[in-house]
Amino acid sequence: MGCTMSKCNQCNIEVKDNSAVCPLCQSVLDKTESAENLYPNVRVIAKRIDLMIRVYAFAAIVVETFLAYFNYRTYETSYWSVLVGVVLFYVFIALRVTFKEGYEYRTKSIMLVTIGVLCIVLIDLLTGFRGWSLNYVLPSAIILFNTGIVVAMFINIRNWQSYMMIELFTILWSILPFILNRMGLLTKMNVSHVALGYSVLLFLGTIIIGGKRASDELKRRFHVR
Amino acid sequence: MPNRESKKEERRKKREAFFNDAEIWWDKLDNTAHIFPVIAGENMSNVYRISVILKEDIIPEKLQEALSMVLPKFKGFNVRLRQGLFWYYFEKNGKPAPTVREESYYPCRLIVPHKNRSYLFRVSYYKKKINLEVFHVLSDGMGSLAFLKELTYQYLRLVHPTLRDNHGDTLSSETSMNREDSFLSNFKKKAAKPYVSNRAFLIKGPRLTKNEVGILHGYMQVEQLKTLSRSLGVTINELLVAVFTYSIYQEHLEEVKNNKAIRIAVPVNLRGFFDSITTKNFFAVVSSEFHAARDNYTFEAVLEIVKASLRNQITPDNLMKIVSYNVSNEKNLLIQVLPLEIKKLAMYYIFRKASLANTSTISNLGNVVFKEEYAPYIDKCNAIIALSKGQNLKGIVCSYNGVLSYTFSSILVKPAIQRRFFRKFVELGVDVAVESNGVYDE
Repeated sequence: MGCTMSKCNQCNIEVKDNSAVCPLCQSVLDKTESAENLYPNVRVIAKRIDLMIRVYAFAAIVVETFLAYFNYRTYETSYWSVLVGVVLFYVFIALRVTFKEGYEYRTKSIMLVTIGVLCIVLIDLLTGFRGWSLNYVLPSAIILFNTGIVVAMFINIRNWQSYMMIELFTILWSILPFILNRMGLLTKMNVSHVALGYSVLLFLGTIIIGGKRASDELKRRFHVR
Repeated sequence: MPNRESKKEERRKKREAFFNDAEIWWDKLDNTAHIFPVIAGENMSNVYRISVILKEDIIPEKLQEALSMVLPKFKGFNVRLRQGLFWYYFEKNGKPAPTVREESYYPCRLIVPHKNRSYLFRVSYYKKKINLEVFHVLSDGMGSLAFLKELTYQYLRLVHPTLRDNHGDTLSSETSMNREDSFLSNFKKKAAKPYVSNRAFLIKGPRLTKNEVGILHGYMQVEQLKTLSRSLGVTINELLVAVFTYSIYQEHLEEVKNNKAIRIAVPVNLRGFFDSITTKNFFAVVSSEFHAARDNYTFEAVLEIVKASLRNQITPDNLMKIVSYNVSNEKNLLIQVLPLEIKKLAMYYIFRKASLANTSTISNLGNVVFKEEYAPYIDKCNAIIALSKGQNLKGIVCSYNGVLSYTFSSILVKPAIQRRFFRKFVELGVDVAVESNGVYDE
């Protein structure tokens, strides 16, 4: 069983690593010779990024509290400090999402753009809702996202086909302005038409130009069994 | 000029990649694997580790080279995990092999599918030890062991050129490349639910700091264990499960009756039962059950109960029922057409219920045999299993060269059950040597 290293007289077992005490009962070992540890000494190092985010969160709260107080004391026409609060909140969420381990960068991009749009809609709401966030920012975000997909496909040329599901998702997203239009929340449709057209054409272009590789990707993604 | 040429060559390669219409190899997940991506998280990684400890220090560059040589030959490991609308699936990865790193963290931490060059395993080293950590979605211990063996052989061939001269860089004839879903090929007909799902006794106690895992390897001579188990009329596996059960009974139930059973999940390798050589997952889980209906059970009484419980379940008929039950769910047309996101919710719910039905798990990789020309370089072998919901202490067994290694992984501060477990073996006349990852030293 290899060479005898140390012995625990309480447990009556051998200890093969370099411990000073028995790992089972914490009794001091009867040491015969020094041994080699099978594991490195791993102590959890405080994650610097986590610390950075927590420092940011605290700093943001301090800044927002100060601005809110200042805004309240000098109030004239608007609660502008709330807008700053929304921006600070978005930066906080963006940092959390960006450094979150489990999410893929595509998921992160979708989350960041969606939360960004929601924050802008919130700013629009807080400033009397003139509809500019839904009329222009929402469809512009879709156009921006589509452009991001094209860029990503060129950068990751070996797996360009793997962006097709996001293309489909963006088509669904492009339908949202039309639903909002039906609900009377979105009134100017020009940019939304461009966004939907861009999304549909991007997907069609990928299928047509991509050929078999694109159709195989769809088969894989939609296989039922 | 050469710089310009190399840039031109790089551009040509990129163009080729773009126009390359070659089919991307893909594969479905096996029946058991569907659950792993759904439940995997930082606290339940579903990653296991198998380590080979050599008699010489590892040369990282050679290990990296060996991995780069072996990986393309193992289709089942050269994949990344993708998400479809209805199911997860594997797709050829094709990127260079993941970087071999020196061990610098606790074992079996989560393998995030899109990191590590999208590979679902990682290779690390520490002094004389080579670690292979595998996300269970890829394969069970048997399939991974074949990969680790080939990696070790290749590494030894690179470090010892005489081995390379004698054997060449080919895979061993004993290595299987079979990737069939043996669950599907052995499915007969729909069976009734063969699992117990009521809540078992759960081991609780103060926990280590977040992310910390206590590892304790216990080494025992196989010959001594054989003699002992023969004298008690049980198999070594039954003996290990019984001693573990008895240790929990003594430590946590304090030998008094309890209305919750101590249930130990025992994954059974199905290859021998169904004549399969697949490298995908192919195991079924049975549960050894001990219900302390009265006070003061003796060890012998617990041993008899555990033995009967396991023997009733590890039969070809019962294992077939488990396989069929599992597959029947996957074959259900209604389940097939449910979007993956909905399936995930259902799977997570079922898993949560099932996970609390077992107190702990003891996995057994069996006897690991290395080819005789490489065996002189190999000192020992051990494995580590990740913890899961409700199961704060787990065990995994493997043996090599006449030594059985029993490894406990735990997130509990006190190794009280482990102490009772190993002391019981000493009491039964078995020599025990232990080794830890240092968590219990302070």
